[in-house]
Amino acid sequence: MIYKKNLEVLEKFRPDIFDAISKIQESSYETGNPVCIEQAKNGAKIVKYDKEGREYYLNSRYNPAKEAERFMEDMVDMPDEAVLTMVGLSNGDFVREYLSKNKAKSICIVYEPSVEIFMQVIQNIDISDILSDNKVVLTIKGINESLLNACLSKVIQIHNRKTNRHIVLPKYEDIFAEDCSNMERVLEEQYDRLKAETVTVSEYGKKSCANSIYNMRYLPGCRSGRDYVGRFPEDMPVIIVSAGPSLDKNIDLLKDAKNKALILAVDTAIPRVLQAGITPDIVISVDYNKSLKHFKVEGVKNLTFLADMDMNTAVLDYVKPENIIFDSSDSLLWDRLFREQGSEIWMVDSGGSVSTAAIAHMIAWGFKKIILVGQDLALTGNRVHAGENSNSADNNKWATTYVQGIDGQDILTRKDYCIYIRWIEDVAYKYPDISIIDATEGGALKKNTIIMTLGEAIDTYCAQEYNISEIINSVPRLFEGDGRRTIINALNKLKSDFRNLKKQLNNGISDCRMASLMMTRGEYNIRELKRINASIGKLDTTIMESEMQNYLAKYVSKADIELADDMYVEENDEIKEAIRMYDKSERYYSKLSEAIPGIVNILDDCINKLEEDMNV
Amino acid sequence: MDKELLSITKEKLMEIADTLYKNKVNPGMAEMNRVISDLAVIASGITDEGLQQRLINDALSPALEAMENKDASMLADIITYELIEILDSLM
Repeated sequence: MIYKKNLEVLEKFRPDIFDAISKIQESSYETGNPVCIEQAKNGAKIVKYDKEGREYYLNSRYNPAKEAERFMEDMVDMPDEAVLTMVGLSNGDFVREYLSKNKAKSICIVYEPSVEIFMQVIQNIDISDILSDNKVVLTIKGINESLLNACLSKVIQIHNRKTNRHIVLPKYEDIFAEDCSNMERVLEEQYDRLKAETVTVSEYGKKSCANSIYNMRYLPGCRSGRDYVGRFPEDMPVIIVSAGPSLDKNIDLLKDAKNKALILAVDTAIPRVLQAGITPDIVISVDYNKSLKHFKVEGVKNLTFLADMDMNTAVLDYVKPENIIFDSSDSLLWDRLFREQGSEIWMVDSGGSVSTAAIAHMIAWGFKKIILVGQDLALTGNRVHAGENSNSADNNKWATTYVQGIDGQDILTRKDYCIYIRWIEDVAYKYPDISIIDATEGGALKKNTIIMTLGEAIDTYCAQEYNISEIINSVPRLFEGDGRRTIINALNKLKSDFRNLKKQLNNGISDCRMASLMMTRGEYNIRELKRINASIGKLDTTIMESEMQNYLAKYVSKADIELADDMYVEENDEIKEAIRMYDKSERYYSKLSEAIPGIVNILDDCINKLEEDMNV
Repeated sequence: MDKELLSITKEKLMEIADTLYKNKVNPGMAEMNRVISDLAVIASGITDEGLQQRLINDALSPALEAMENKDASMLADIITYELIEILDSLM
């Protein structure tokens, strides 16, 4: 009855786990099963694990619920948005205790390293309440552990990095030392990713903001990536060419795939690909600070560019491509302008690198066969990129580590590459109907991908010919005719909005200062405080929901990060917490107000350039 | 029976149990090592032979075994449900 109940809940709420355990043979748990469910002195069910002749009780033998209560004492009432990662499910009491003592917005990510423990628990202990709770993410080794990284990437963010907690349940460290250590490594990678993203956003925020404004000069005549969804035949593959060292091995084979697969080259691979006499159908560039050196090649102007809204404007200014497809934007203004043209633009999760961005875009377009070439994600032959001499990888420049290579041996890689390896593995797991074929023929192993040589991949997947340039050109261009004037008008309106916002921000600063002083002095003028709170509430809505939001957030990214960083690190005293938030808001509004003249200057410059373009 | 010793020992044991239930194995075991001698003094001072045997067999021996196995939750349980109960009956 218990097993049936748990299975019903699993089928409804966690179909991935349900499907996986349906395939597990019950007989595999009969002989040599190290797990046993026993009874504590108070009658509750507890888990015993036998390892190498020694018995480990994962729960108190007297009162497991009480033990869980005391163990989880420091995890009561965690701040909003905080995430608890927990190694071990045990009999479920610890998770249950966490859920009973925490707010709706807290998530608990459980990693159970033993599928035997999980199976014995669901067969003998009613954990249907846990299985049906959407605040619990349950990952089990051997069943759905690939979900772990994807989930952690999503939930570990700047605003909760200081409030998240990680625990290992009693005895798990003794029994599953390697798994506990792996979990720590996975978490470290996630915090490294966050740190890298934060540093990047912080350093390049102003440039990113400027790019996203200046790149509007290239909207007239562009196409939208959204209009390519479902445009390509379903059985047509895409070959994503990255610039890893192994590209030198098989680049010449790409000629055999021409017109039989969409050939999409990342920007760093452009020189090598053109040098080999191959013209990619599309090239992709997303980085807001990409070096021009990759584009100083004969023939690049005629290539079709797949671009992110805030890719390096200097590249577009240099290349002046005739064909641009804008395929990712997080700007409400861009969103509105594209919709007014009868199209759309969306935000594609790039994964952090141009290669992962390429994969993300192709999945969004509907490709079911994605062939990766030059995707080493390792310092193969002690090189970073194809075409370089050996020993070009200066190991002192980056933090490095070893990962498993496709040949099963350890291979040296950069620590930041580990993030991209995990991203590819997670995506390959998340989309079982998409074949991600790693035809790099070297480099790091990416689990869940199909490994074959490029020759084999071409023989298997590239059988049919297509008129690819016709497909690409069949999508209508946007912002033609008086498109430029439309953009100029939109930028002028944005400029006016920013000027108004500056006045509102200055009022907000005064309000916050007054409120903080009143609270500090104990002068609780309720009417005035209500007025202030309503006013700054309205200001916050304007900042968050207007078309100015995206540009402000990028231009003052350091301030944005500072605002989010300890947002949920609350004072215990309500008055002190209120003062903290007023002071925090005052500082934030000040930074935004100081930034507005800089943004207006960029808008003015862009408008002038667009006017000049109109007169050409 | 020294009531003050009983009271102080009980207080220490409750703190140790708390430490152990939070899986802080080494600090908990180290503290327990320091308290063992007090428990031995208490045991030797018990005139009721039955109670003395209960302290030794149901509490001290299993506690020493749990310490040897570094079993934090077992030691915490013995402290909470056996040792402290016996100390309460002596007070």
